[in-house]
Amino acid sequence: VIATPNIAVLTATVYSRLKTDTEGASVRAAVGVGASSVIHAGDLDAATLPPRPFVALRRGPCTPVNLSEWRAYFTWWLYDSPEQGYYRLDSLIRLVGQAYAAKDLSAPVDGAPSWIELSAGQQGQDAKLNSLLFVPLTLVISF
Amino acid sequence: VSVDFSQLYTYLDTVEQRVTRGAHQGLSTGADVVEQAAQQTSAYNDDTGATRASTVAVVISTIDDGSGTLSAAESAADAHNPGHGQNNVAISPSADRVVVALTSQTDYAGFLETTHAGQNAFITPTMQQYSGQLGQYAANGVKQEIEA
Repeated sequence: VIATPNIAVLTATVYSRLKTDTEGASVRAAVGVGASSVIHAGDLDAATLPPRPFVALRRGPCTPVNLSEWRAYFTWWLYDSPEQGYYRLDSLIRLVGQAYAAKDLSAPVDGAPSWIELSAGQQGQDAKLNSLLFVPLTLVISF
Repeated sequence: VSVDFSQLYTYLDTVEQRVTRGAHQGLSTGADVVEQAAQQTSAYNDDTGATRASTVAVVISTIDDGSGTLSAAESAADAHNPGHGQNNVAISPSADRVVVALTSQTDYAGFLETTHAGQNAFITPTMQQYSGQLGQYAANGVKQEIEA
């Protein structure tokens, strides 16, 4: 029987990489106000948005792909003010990638190695979120 | 020396056709599972019913380009929310691939996927959840076709 991952721990690990870990310091230096600009997507509120640019994490599915492998999806949604254009957001993509590449995540299943693929999605503008510009950045974690 | 490869080429063409047919059949079974899962989502408000009614998973290959299903889904969206039906799939059949496309045939489907950090998204998460299984459906279909 394939071991079931601890999704809560995995989510916390992915989040803390940018929120508090040393490896995420360059991301915190590039967003609006450090760790205050790194949030969970569930805390997004159009009336009280963090200083920009900011990043918001949403967990996607965590699913077995065969008898010995799981795959977990997370998306960092990168947001900035329309007048800034996409330059700061596009710069953040590289910094986020470096934060995860700097050090392996702690194994989400005991003893299982993990690896991460990162892909940036299409640029957009969110009409229901103060017309902020956004870029989704998806992490695919296999273990 | 002259070697006639015509029989070999004919045989390989037949194998290619059967692989495509098997993959298409296998993925059709998988697409039904994906479509059902996507239609059962509670990720959005469902004010008009257009999104749910026009959510389809379609297999596109040289056997079937899926246009009939996609067109019907677009009409279903228009029936629930007039003027908002739209085809969101532009994939041409190709001899070297069999595609599963999950879509909602409204002109605001993309908005649902991205607004508020993906709060209402259901197409992307559903495909992420089932992508691994779809490979297995394709493999099973090919195996059944080859062994038949």
